[in-house]
Amino acid sequence: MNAPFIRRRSRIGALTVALAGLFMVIALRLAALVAIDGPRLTSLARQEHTGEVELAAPRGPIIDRNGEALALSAETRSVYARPAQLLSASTTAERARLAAAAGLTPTELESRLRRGAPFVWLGRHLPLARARIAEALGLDGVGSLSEYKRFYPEGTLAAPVVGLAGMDGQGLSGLELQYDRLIRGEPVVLRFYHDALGHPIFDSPLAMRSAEVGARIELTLDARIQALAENDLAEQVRKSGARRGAAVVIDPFSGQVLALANVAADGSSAGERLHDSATQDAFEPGSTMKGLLASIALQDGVVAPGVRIYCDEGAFSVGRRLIHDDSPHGWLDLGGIIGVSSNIGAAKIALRLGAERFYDGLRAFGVGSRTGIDLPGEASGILRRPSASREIDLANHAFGQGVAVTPIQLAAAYAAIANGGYLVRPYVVRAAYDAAGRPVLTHTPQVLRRVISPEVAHTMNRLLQGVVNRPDGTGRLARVSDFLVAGKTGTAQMLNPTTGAYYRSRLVASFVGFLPAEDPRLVILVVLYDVAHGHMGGLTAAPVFSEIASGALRDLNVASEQRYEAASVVPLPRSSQNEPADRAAAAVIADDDSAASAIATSDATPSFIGLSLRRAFTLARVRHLNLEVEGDGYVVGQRPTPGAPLTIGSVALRLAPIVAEAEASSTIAYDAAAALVVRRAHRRVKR
Amino acid sequence: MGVVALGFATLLARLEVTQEGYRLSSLRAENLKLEDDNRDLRLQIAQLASRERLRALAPKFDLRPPVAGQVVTLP
Repeated sequence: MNAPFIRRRSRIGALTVALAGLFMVIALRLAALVAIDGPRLTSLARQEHTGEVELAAPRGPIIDRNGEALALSAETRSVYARPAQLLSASTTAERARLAAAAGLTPTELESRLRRGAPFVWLGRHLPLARARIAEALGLDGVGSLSEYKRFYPEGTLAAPVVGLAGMDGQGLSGLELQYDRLIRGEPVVLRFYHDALGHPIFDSPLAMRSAEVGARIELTLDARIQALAENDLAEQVRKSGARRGAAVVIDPFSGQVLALANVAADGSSAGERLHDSATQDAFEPGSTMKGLLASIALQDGVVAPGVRIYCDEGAFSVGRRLIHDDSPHGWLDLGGIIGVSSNIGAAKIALRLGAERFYDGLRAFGVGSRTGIDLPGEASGILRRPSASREIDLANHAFGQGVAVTPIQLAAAYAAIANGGYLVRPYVVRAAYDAAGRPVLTHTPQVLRRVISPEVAHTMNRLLQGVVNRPDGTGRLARVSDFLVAGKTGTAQMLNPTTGAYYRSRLVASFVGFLPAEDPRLVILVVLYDVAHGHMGGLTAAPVFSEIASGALRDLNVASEQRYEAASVVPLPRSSQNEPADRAAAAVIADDDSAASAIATSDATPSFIGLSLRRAFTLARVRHLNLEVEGDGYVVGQRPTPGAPLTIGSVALRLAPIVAEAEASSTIAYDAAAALVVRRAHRRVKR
Repeated sequence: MGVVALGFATLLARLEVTQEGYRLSSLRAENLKLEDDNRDLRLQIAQLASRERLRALAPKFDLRPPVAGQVVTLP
């Protein structure tokens, strides 16, 4: 081998070793990058090529039972600044233009920027147009975010019920708070690749999720009736000089709240959106308590409608205290005591009933405990245990002093009288639906318990009609043209919280009632707080009841039962064998006493089919018959059958609430009464 | 040669995916804007139909609430 060959070989060898060493270094470096710095570098690369954005979610709308919007969300922009960056990269003139776009003065803007904070808001929830002006200035250190703002298009209508959502989209009061979990949408964070200029590139449609809109909340409230109640109440608050007022309208059978109004002396909703007086404030109910007392006493059998009680000519002493009536009365029956609102008569009934039974009865009516309405902060009222009751306390409770109820409690208690004896839970949200329209929450009527029997409810209905219809009744101003009203007035002295004594001339006036009395559709309570002496419930609250009731019935398209029933019994065909029975039923349905008297002497069994229990009792009274009743609702069967000879002086009735059963019943003749039931049922279905 | 062709095809496909990504991105933005516009319009309808506003406008058109007897409900 020659020398050049050897040199070449050694150079090749050296180069090979050098290259191998170099590759070794590279391999080691690669291994180090992958094994040691790998995660950090991957993360850096990801940050360089990917971005993410959080999409805010709008709160779901709140609508009334007819779809009218009471709360909606819409997009707005919120403009922010990073002061250090902005101050170093902008001139005073540019910042002045920015201030104008954000709705600030230049001084305000400078002051915010120089607070020393690394981040400041320049304007929250700005209209898109103004935010775009700020963005178009192109200043370093200024940015904007999309946010949703809550709007209440009907202004203060039902404001305390709907409540308030905060700046950051969180529920603060009312339904906004109660159903926040459902109403609040679900924000979504989108991750995507972007190009060198920052434009997002979605490489899969699966990455294109939208923020989840909050659930749509559908209320039982009727905005028309709500507006009616608020307007009529505001008018009377102004006229009477009351400090504030509340009104409740509920369906006695379902417990659905149709209106819940709070009005302050200046005509606004009291406390605006943060406080709902109708469910959160208790008041001494005054004589409206007598309706509950009479129901309990009748249920316990300590009084009967015909039993007369001596009312001591206006002054009656209990222990060392003297109880007065507004005007002196002698002997009064229960209807008289309720009708003229005798405190003495009520006190004597309560004393006869006893503290324990009265307390139990009031508890059964829901006094002293929350109704369970789906609104936050409901008060439970005040009801003392009987052990703490002295005789005078018991007497005072009889006419609604020393006991406190919320308006919704009192309305629910009277709903139990109106619906035949069931205490139902009031509620304001009928259903909630997600963005796709699927129901996520549904409320159905909930019966809490039976409080009084249907017979007692029927008797109370009649007695409470007397309050409105008697010439000396205290609730005459609650009358509604073409409709029978049952109700009770209340006037209570206000308690001075400082002295613990009652004010002589500061009153709470109220009226609670239901109509149409023969087929109740609405229970309405009106309360006026802090009215002057002389503004009794029958004079100030009863007219508001009448106004709200007539407007609400008109809005609900409720036809007059009196006119309708009288008209419905004449032209309909009836079977010849049931003719006398039909006449009896027709006479009762039409409230035609003369016709009823004419058939009172017939020997045939009258037809009770299709009659409500109330009317069945009326017919039985006319025919001097005893009734054996089974079930609730309307009569679907009877023994003896209609037209059969009357031999035992007693008729067994079977009642059912469902009309399909009535229609299927083999004993039913398609007479006027049955037609009435069917039509009633159709009306209920249409509601 | 085959490897070059395969690489070229992959490049074209990747380019197409990127183009579609841009299109999706712009459609997304448009969709969001339309949803927000829709919400805004619903809000405008609700505000224009609000009772307060209608009550203020009613006298201009000689409209007032019906008095007793003007509305008769038939069964």
